[in-house]
Amino acid sequence: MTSYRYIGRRVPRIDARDKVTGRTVYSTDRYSENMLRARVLRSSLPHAKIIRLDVSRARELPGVEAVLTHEDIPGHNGFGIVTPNWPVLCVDRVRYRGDALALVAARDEETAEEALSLIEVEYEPLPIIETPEEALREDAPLIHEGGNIQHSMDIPPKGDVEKGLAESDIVIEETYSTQFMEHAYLETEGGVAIYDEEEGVITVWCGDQYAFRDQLQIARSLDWDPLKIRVIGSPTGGAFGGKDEISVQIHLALLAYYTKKPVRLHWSREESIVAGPKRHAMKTTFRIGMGNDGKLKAIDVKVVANTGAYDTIAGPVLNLSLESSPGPYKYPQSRFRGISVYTNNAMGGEFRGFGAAQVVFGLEQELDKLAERLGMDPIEFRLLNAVEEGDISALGHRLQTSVGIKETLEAARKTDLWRDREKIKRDLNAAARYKKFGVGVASEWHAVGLGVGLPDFSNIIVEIHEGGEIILRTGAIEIGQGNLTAYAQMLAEALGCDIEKIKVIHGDTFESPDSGTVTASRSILINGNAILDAVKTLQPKLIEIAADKFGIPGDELEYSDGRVSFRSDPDRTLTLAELADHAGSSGVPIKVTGTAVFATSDKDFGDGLPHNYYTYITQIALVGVDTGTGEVEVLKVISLPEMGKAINVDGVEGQCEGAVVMGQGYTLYENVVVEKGEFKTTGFATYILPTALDVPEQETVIVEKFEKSGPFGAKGVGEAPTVPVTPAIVNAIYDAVRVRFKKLPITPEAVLEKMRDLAGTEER
Amino acid sequence: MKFNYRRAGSLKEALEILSEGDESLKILAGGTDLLVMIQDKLISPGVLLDINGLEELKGIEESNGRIRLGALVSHGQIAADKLLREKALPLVESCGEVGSPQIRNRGTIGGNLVMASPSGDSIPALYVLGAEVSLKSRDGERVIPIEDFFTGVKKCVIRPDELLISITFPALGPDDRGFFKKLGQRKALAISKVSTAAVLTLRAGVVVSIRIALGAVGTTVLRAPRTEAFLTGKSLAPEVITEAARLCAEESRAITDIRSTGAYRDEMAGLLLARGLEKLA
Amino acid sequence: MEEITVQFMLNGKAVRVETPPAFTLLRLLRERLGLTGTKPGCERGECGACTVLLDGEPVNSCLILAPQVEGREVLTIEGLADGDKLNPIQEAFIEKSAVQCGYCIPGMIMSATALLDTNPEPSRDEIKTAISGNLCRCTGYTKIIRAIEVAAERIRKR
Repeated sequence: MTSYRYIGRRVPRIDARDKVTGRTVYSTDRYSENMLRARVLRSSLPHAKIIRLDVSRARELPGVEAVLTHEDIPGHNGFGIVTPNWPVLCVDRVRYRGDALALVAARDEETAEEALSLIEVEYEPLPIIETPEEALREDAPLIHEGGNIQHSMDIPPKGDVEKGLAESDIVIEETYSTQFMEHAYLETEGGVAIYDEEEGVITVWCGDQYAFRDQLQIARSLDWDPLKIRVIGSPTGGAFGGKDEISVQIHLALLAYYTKKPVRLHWSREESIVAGPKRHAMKTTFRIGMGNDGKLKAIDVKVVANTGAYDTIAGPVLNLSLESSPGPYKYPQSRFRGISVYTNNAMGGEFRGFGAAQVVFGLEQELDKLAERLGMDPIEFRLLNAVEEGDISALGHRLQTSVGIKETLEAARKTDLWRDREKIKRDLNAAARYKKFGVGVASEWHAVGLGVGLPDFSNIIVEIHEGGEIILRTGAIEIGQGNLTAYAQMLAEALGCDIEKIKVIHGDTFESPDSGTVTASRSILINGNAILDAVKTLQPKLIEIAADKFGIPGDELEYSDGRVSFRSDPDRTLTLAELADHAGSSGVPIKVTGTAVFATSDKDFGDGLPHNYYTYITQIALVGVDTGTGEVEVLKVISLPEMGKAINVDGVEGQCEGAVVMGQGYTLYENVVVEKGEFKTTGFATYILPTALDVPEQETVIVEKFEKSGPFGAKGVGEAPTVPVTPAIVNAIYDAVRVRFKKLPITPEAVLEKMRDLAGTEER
Repeated sequence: MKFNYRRAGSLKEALEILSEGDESLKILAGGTDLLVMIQDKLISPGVLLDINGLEELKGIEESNGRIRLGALVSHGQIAADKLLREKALPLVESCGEVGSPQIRNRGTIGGNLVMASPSGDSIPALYVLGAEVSLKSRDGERVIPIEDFFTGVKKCVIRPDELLISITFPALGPDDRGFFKKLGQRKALAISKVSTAAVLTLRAGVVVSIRIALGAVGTTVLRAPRTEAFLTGKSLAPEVITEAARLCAEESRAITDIRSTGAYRDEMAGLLLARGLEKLA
Repeated sequence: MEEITVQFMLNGKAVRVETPPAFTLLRLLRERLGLTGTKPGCERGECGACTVLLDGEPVNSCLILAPQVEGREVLTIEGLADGDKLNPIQEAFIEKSAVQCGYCIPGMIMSATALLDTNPEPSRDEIKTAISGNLCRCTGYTKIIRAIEVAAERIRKR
């Protein structure tokens, strides 16, 4: 075993001190003299033609500095990560309640607010399409000219799935449906923009996930040189996929350009819920066949996603639903088909888990049902069918990177909670008057990286300055997950220096290089590899500097542990500080670039499918169900992730713990309720997040498996733990009270109803 | 938000101001509902009258077997009060479940009543304690039984020139028992889906008298007179409790909304009663 | 609306500041006093990100009007550390990795401060109740609860 100083340890976060003292300046914390306050006029109808939009009265209001409409957009009036069909400001049509029609900038919030009320809009209502089923009807009105199907994907089938099902001893079929989910980051979308007329530069501070893409999208809409747009997206008060797309960025840049004053725009909580993208609502149908020996034979999956009003990134989300849907198991025959459909109910988009949570909710219940049919232990059943490194996946690609699903299942089987579960339940049942207890398990494989065919790269820069300060520049955004600390750990380890010497400059298109987006659980792997690449370039450079200083050939020197020393006399050394001072005095600053590109799969199904790296994870849940009220209490969750090597143990645990509670919320409480395009949940009194009193005790068992192509053996872990926790809880509910759920969230009302139905069936 | 702010220096001054009949004026106590309503643009007052300085509206006292709560007493104060824990347990339990610590520290009992939400948690507790509400204006004071105070969802009998100054009720005696139970969508920061409060006098295991009130299941908090009548004179045997729960559910009048369904709420009103009674049996 | 003057004790120092009458304490702190450690999260008292201590009690600063703090004592996240010396709760939050995006953390620490000021030996349930008005979307609360336990132990040992 390699012994590391920083890797695999509990290293305190480099940004924690500023965060606990309130000194961290988030984008929405920026205020200055004569800063204008901006507001957005949003559609008051979910689907309508705009007959007239009159801003003249608003423009006349004293204190108003700008009122902008689509006519004021110099460039492309649209944005979107994949297809830019989401209007910056609507022209003649609104397609959901969050659509933006006009922008106001005024001297204060109150004036901006009043100006909004002076804008006159005349609409002609259009029929509201709520569900994909309605949108797919032949006579359905078209939400977009190209039709209501935004994206469809059929993965080339593997074998003959109908034959596989016909030859199976047991075939089960079920359809599951899931709701829109809100990211609910505590910092809503917001920021500040300034236009420097002299330099021709527009600077936008806004919490995001990829400043360089924002830069391009802003430039496209303003018809501006991207290099004259500076975006600073870090740090961010939570993102979870919801800040990868444009929110305030283009609006801010437009207002700064027209007013030539600093402008601040910060969405209200309601605006964040209504206008921002949600986790897609989906319907998934599974047909799964199995032999009497417990071996899976065939899987046929069909997914229908409600993507809401516009594209953003719906295609890749649906694709990942399909890729995630078989789980990390072997099936000789398979077929995966999906469509993503436009509606007027909300706006679907990117969300931590990226399409997986919706399908794994169903799959892992189906697997439990199959195991039960054979009287098999759920973990044994999964182990029997689990993939290994080198296997051909359910999709047909070869698993050429580390595969740890079996190890996570073995580790799960060894936990006290699983091993002693019958006794634990017995004891709890005996002590409780109104409750029944159950234990459930579920697993997942979660893709890491953007996938084959997509630009999946990173660039980072390492500099060593006089005095020995080391600067790491990365475009990556700190969205809360702790990646900056992990980068510093990796650089300190690779260089052999103290982590305290490292300063990370991040998420700034003028001050850091493009490291790609902070999504897809990709940051550790790709930026870690870029850091190692930089260090590889840096070491010979340091030797060169030392050779110059000592006046001897470089091959007589060697680099280790933050210094260059003589091979012949290890006591004669130059530290990084001394090397930097020498380089500085000779006018050659020490600066290197590191790059990395994701290795890709051996197959290419298009649109990023499939992936080459996966996080594997098993989660176990212990729940208590109140048989009188139907309330479900999650008492304990154990997460067992395999993410290659853990770079920061606290970081991995933190990702799991937060993800579990997010998954618990999705399972039991959270639901963006939209009826006829109108939002019924508009704040935290109606959109229910778990509080500290609602959450389970947690344990994380890190299952390490070295991945040879990852930095120090690491892959990634950000998303996976949000996913199987849902079916683990649902399977635990079944274990407690013998009822299953095809729909989320599982409210007490639903539990009670199911228990009634079950009691009715049993009586008959 | 845009409005003017006035601070009342004395009760007399506050009542004078109220008597001026400024319709755009709203009274600011804890502000935990009022400021939310303003932010949500449900109301847009021209001026807020801050009454937080009025000493006459503060304090928790007992005299001659009656307890008086100043209208400005916060939920947090009630939840932590030893006297009330001994002599008004349902109220303590209900106030302890309001919102969050931050909300409990600010939200006042008087404000909770004047907001007149059927899901206001202190209200069922005050129903079963037999509370009376004192309303004062420049022209005098009137005392209203709590059950006559509410007239509908967010509606009550207080006049614009009146200030709710205190709430009084008899202290529970040694044979009295009481409880408050609620179901919310989660364990904190939860608006009640349904709540049940009860006060009963038990002698030798027999219910001598009982008052039951149900929250969030009607346009105002409801009493459950048939259930009360059924339980009076009976011992708390399991089959009695089961029947009481059934009756109580029948008396509940809940509707379906974003938080729950009418049928579930009705049934739970009875179940919460049963659970409370089972603990006392 | 005409601005009014408010005087109060802020983080141990007397301040005197002009405010629009309808400003919340949250906006006064952020927009007039430059103390942006106190965060807006919902402006309805439903998330706790704006928690400050008013005369020692945790309150949502989004639900208090600026003029209401006249003559009172307000403590914000910026007032906890003594120069560079952090208080034990802040230290424990760093050490136990209780911080992720960090946006809820100032409010969380203020609630924890109020708890430990009045109850230096809280049970786990008392800790959970004390922070039950502070939503966190990143951490799942586990490490936050642990950090408060560690801080309580340290404070008791002093």
